[in-house]
Amino acid sequence: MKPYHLLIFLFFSLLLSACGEDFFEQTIEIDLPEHTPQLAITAELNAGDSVAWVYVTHSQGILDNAPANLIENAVVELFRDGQLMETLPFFRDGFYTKELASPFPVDPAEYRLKVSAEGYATIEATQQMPPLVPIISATYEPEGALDLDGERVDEITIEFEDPAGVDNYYEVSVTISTANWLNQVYLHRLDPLAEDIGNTLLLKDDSFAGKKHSWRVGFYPQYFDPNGETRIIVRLRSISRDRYFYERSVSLSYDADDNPFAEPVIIHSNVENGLGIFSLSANSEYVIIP
Amino acid sequence: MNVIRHALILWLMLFFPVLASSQQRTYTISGYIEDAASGEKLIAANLFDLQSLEGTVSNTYGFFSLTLPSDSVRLTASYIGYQTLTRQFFLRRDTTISFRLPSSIELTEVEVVAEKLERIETNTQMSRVSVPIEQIESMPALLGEVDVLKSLQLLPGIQGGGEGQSGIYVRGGSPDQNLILLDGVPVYNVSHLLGFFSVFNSDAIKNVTLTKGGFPARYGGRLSSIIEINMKEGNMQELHGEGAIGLIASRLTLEGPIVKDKTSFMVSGRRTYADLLFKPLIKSQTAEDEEVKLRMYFYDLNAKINHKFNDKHRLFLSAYSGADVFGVRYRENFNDGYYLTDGGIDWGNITAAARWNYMISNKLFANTTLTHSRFRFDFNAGVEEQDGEDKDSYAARYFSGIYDWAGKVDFDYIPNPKHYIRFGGGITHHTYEPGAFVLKAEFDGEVLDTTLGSTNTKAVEFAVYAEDDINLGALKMNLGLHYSGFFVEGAFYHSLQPRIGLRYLLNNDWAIKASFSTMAQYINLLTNESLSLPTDLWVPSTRRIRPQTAWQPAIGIAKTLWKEYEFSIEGYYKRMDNVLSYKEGVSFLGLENDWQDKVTQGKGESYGAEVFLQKKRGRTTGWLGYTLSWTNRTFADINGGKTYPFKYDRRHDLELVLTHKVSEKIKLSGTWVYGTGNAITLPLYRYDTPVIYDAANGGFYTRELESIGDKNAFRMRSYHRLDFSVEFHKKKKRYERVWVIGVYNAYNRPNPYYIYDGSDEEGNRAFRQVSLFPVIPSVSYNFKF
Repeated sequence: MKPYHLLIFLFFSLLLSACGEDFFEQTIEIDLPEHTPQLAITAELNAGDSVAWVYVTHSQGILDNAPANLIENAVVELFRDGQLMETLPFFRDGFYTKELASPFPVDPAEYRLKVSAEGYATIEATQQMPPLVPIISATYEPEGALDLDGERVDEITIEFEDPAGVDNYYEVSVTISTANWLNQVYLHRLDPLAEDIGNTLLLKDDSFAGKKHSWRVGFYPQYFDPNGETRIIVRLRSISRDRYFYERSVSLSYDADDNPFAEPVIIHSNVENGLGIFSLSANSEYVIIP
Repeated sequence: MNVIRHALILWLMLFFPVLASSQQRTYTISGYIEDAASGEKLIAANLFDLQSLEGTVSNTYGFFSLTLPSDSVRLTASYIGYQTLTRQFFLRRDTTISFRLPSSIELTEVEVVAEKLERIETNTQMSRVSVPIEQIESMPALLGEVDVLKSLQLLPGIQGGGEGQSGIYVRGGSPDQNLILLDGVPVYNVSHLLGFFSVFNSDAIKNVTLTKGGFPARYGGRLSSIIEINMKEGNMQELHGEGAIGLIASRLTLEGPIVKDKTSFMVSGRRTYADLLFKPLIKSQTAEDEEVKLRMYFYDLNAKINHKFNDKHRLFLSAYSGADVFGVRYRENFNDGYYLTDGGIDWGNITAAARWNYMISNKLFANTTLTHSRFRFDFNAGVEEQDGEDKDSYAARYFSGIYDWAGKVDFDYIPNPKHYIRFGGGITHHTYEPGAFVLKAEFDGEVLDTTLGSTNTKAVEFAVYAEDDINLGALKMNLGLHYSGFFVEGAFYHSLQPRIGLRYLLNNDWAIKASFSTMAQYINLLTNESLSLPTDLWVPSTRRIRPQTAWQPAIGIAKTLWKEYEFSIEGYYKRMDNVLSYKEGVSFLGLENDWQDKVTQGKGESYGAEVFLQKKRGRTTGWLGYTLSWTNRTFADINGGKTYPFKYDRRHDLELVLTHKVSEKIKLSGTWVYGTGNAITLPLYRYDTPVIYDAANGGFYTRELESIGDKNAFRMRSYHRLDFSVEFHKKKKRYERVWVIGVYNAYNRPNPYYIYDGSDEEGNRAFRQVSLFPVIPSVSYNFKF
């Protein structure tokens, strides 16, 4: 046998032995540091709400297969300007809720949330109530615009005055209300400066700080009940900076979920010694009757 | 012209006083060293006088100049792969000689002499590698496509990024820190097909040199490397051709004289043909009232004309055009209308260069270059629908690019064997298009025409330099200064960069080499660290984004061992400032923000040692390379400000490249690589957050959020791979044919491409590794005439 005959034989032998089923994807072992569970909270308090709620859970190692334990014995305390305002009792499914004697005031104040539970480090988060920004006007135009993907959409223009001297962050949502249903519609960006995070849109005041601004948003044409009284409820939320970055990071994290080449996303958190978000917002509503 | 020439020489003599003091009765021998068969100029060929033991090397254009005392001289001209020529005469006047070296078949006694002259220890330059194009063409390649850049990845200190990618990461730098020059023109996008193939067609290439440190002053503009790729000039004597038919692409190159010994040409083309193969299949699946057109290919075209006016003047015109084209056009016809959709992406480069060689005197050589380089990415999608009289249309287009016009003049002045002076300067006008989105639509007579995105930026970059290679016997040094500047948006950045290279020859022929260089870079590539995408944006330094800078000392030893082996060890430290990275969590695409809002600047460092043992001649050639290195990045707003390992921080990197000529008919080649796994970021823990969809009734569900640990704190599994190929040569009556059979990843190692957290076969949470290329055979038919 000549040397190159041997090589050809080896070549085809390799081909036949190759391409096992598991070649392209396989489970691998990676040594991870042991994870000490931390408390993780989600708390979104809005000025004007009469119920305060906090979702309390704990973190788990990424490869831990067990479901998270329900934490029923946490002490959840809400402070306003340093004074204990409420202690929220456990309600169910991880939620701690409390009906307030009077709705959250819109005036600026510092709120602090403190959560402690046996077996976990105590966590705290502090937020300043953002200013309420009233909607001056909102107009609706059926099929009034093309969105950034070139789709024909209904258009809503929201006019408001951005408070001067402070960085402001906004979230807008639109709900169609009829006698029979309530539907929060999926909003499309018409303003390229806005950020799409799902049903709602986010906006920073970089380009209109301290000025009147008209924010155009769109949504696919909806079916309006001809027999019922249809209302378009436009909600402009003035949100805290932490909420803006949290929502944005969560949205990017979901976008990156199926993309192995995406840069890793750190979920924004403002919780000391723990995880999650404590955020405040002040809502302004405007009802349009189409 | 004479006044300018004398003024120039006077200035040089003042600037380098040592020249003025060494005037004696000397004469200059100058000329070119070229391939006897084709007339191709030989770069870095050796010329040595065996009487005085003085020597020099030819420059990029084959020009040499050697000034010697009036005496009997015995000149030998030598180059790897060629027979050495010797000329003996009495030097009594300035003399012009051109050496035409015949190809070497067998080693001769004279060549042994030449080997002594080419020793690695004779050069001041360190951190530079030249890979013979014949070696590159013999290396096994993915799907049989010979790849110049992938062969450079097999050198110590250089990595290729991800599996199968043709990216170049030099001593901890990023891909934009490499200045890749094709006949002196920067090529901005060097890859096809998402980085799996490079744009350089080896058939059209004459020479590849990579410098990764110890940069002489003539180089600038990038922090990490200069890769010089020179196209063939075209055979001055007779028509020749070569080509190949491969699994994914075919190529053809023709070269020959237009006017013998005066003007030559070279044209070379390569194209993939997946779309042509799919065409019959698509046709068979398409209904009568449908039309489907698939565009799916990449191509490269190289062309060059070389005209010799006389011994003093020579002109080169060269051009390159290459692109990737992917798209589909679909049309469906109805009775009274049609529906048409057409979309795709294409991207590519065009480069052009005009170079004029002027031998001003037998000691002064000038090269003037005018260049144009363009890279453009274009994405478009459109829909058109006609129903009777009604017609709606929608078209979207996203495009980005960079356009350069440049001119430069380089001088080589060789007053005597003790000095080799280079000086010159150049200016480049850049136009950056950092991404724009155009939307045009017409619905029910209403027209939309809008453009979004960043506006064009124009900038002017210039550089001047002077360097002298000084030979003081055992001590040789290269001293130089490079000064560059950049005008952009009313801002002016500039940088004075000292460059030093030293070589000291010990008694036992071991050379100690040391170098120090500083570099500045005014252009950046916004890119994902993991993948080379055509959407990567070239952007300039601006008022907000400061130029990247680096400084790099290196020290090493070098020696020729056993006559045929070059051995070197180098240690280096490279510090980089103002390097760019995307901020955490920004989306790469999207026009909602200025690109400057998406990036952050920080520091980088890389240090390590490289060992290189290379055999360039004989029946067996190849090299063994090993790198031990550390590479880190620090950004104030990434990883909490903590220093973290660069994604391509690779502690150990080993490459073995071997080519063995079994006989005139059979040649074997193999490469084996091993590298520490890439650094990755992994999620460490998770927690739930509620999504409330019905607040009134307490309706909610939970979503899982993952928290990542420190950036790049984990490692993928190590990477190793064996490739080999066999060439079967046969000389036919009018041509030579070569069958090449190759195997990529011969032992089917599942090397990691990426890792994600998913679940195993039993449904348990687990990390999953995805691999890309199993064992892949290839076959190609090559011919040459």
